[in-house]
Amino acid sequence: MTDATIKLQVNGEEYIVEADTRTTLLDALREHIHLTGTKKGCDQGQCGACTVLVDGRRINSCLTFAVMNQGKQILTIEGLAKEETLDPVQSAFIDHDGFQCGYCTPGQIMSAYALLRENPNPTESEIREFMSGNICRCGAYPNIVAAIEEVVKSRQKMTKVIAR
Amino acid sequence: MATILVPKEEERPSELVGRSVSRVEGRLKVTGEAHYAADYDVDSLVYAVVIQSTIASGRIIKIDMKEAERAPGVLGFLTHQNAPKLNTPIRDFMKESVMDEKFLPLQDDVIRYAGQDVALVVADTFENASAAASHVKVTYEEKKPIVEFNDGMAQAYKPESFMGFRPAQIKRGDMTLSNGIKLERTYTTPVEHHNPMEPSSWVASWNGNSLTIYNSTQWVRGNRSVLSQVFGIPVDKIRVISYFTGGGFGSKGFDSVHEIVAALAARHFLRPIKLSLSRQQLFTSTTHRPATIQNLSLSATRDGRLTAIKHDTISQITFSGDFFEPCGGVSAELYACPNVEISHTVVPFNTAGTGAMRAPGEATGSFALESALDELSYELKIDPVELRMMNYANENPEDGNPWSSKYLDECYGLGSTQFGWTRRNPEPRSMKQGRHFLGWGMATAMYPGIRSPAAAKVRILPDGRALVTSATHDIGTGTYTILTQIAAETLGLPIEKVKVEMGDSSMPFAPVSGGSATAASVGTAVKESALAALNKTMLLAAGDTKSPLYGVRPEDMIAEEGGILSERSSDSFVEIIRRNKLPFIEAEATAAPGEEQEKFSFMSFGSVFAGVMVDSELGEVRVSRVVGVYDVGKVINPKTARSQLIGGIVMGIGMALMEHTVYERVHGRAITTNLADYTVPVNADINKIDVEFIDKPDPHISSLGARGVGEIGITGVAGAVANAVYHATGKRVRDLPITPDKLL
Repeated sequence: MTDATIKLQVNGEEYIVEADTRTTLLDALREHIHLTGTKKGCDQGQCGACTVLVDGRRINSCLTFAVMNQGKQILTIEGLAKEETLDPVQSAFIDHDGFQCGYCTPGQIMSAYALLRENPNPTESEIREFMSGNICRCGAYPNIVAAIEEVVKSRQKMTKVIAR
Repeated sequence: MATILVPKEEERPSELVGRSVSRVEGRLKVTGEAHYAADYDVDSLVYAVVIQSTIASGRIIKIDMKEAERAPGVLGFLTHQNAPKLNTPIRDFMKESVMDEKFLPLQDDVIRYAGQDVALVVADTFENASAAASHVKVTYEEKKPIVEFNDGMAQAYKPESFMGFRPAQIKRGDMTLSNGIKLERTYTTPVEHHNPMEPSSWVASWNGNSLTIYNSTQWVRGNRSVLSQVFGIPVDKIRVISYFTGGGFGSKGFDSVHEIVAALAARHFLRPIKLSLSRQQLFTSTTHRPATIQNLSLSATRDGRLTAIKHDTISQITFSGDFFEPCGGVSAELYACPNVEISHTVVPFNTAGTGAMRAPGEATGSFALESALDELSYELKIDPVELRMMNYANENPEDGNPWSSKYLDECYGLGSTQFGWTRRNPEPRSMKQGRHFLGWGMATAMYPGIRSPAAAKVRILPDGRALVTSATHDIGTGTYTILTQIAAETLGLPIEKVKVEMGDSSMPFAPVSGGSATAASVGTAVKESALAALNKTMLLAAGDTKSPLYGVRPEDMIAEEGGILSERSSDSFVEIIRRNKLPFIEAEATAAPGEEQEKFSFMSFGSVFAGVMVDSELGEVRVSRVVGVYDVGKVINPKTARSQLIGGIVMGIGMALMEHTVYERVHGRAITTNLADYTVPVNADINKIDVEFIDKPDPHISSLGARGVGEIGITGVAGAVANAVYHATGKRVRDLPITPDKLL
């Protein structure tokens, strides 16, 4: 259809993409920028595998066009770890075995990362509810909840130490 | 030479098997660096989209592509009118050659199901390919399709065997000797779709007469075999790669027609092709669990002894496939009963191929059998656990063989205690909390302990690390991790010094990652090849005058801490390889089951206890708690095994309460083709799940003592939930899924 020059800020870097205006943010990330950590599970906003943060807010990247996201800060799974150091959410997912096949995992982790900004002290049932936009067919849900709870707990401990 | 410190027994890294080790590929998966089929990019890649039939039975009259051909970016189309002719592959599981369907794609004008690929468009971008596909107009001559049992009974038939593996019709004892009370019930289960999170995808590229295909698959060697026959090229010209598969649950086990379409298009257009099915297309054109109607009759004495079981299954099959749901197996083998009759009747439907979905036969058959036993327990006023113990099979009642090992009694005992089962008042509707009825139910879980031949290669490297290769897969099953543990323990190396590579058809042979068989099959092959590599290393040391181990017999050596120890001296892998000027030390071994298969019956067992809350006004069922206790032999990695069992239980809750693919009868199309209409459990649907293991090795399955854990988790769950729903409400739902409308 119409090609456009699209400027995207992803994980702090600017990418210039020549793409069809119908290109979703998900496909721009995967097929043009080659950041394939963000996954396509349903391409219709039902599974959460494509979750990324746009200006700090989690969204399904399959439900938005790339051209609509110019000038916004996009954070994907590739941008979460600082050099070699994993984000505590990533480490907790490994420690608690919060995944099996790993395909939904980038979306789960981005969603969990965002959840903890939306609600830093969620209850167990809030975690379950807030994470229900991310389907895991391997059924790792109890482990995902345990991983997020651990991050919450360790942050609370840190806060206490600092308060002292 | 420094003093040799032989580590104390408890400090040795030799106990890696059995330890909870975090997934070795975990870092790749949490950083987005694990690459699945559709993540691969190849030079000059173009995109394919398949166009699927909108009728379920009939023939193509015309494909109008005038408008589509003019669409931007289009490279071309393939249909049955211009696709090159393909060779028909043999259909033989033992020869690694099975397709989901019994027909080849784009070869004729016959329509067998709604969702059959009728054309493929290739374009420069995914957007252009999708847009062009929407302009293709297909005209059909439509026949009335069969997508319901009632419409197809005239064509029903009784197969001799289930896929050639086991008899489909079984009779033992004398059914006229059944006495006592008789319970006859009908249970039904719907079509279910696997819905792995990764849609089936392929990136195919040809270099002359050689094909490389990144594939989301559970069987790289099976894919290679079929592709070789279909395109008439030798297997060594084909490389099928699947380093990570985003879930399969059976749907990626055999060869898909779309895989052949992808490879065909790449060859026809002389360009690498990426093809991914959409979520909707997974519902129309991948395999699925067949629907069943199960007529079950139990006869028992007043004191609870089964005198006869008759389990007649009517299963969906398709006009283009031969897989049916073998529900009766559980009734033949789970309980001691002298008189048994099992039958399977199949009815062909116009749907995409039926196939294996997690515990095919056991998941559905145990729903019927375990529900019926619960009904019997109420008739006889005997506790459900006690009733099962009264009919405990101390040997396999079907073949008379002793079990290789069986601790089901301990599963009942521990599960019952963990759950608090003895506090249960069996009276339905006896527990209420606010507007919710509470109920407790239980069932037995079971799945065969399958092992098949497999091979692996172990290479000890000059830097003292080891590399393990096998053409197996990690579909979320923890294969990378358990194979690392097995190799590391055998070689006396820490986990970090062992690297396992898999998912490449050029690697040593491994079977399909199905049937919960990978741990016992490939795990044993890795152990044996590691032992063979170690033996070579020991012989090198023993024969080398410069080695501190010169002259020591290999049987007096052990592998430890990156080298070999005897009582008095030691040598390292690094030194042995250096002194012998070798690039590495390598051994490949094939491990296969032997005569033990004839002497013993191999089965995993478990007990599942479920608690439900049923909303008395809305009929909504929530599973508040599940306790599962499993006897699966030795547990290689409790952490990953527990996750797999939890996953099976979660899928079992989906089976019990949600999952159902609905077809409309007029055109035979699936109408629940997305994750909002076909619901699967989400995080908020899942509450407390406790999994425990008996963890006693199976002394006969292989030297590892481990049976697989992939499938048993789903078995028994639907039965336990249905029984809990009855206990809560007094309503016996015999038709899955247990949706609110059935309780109001």
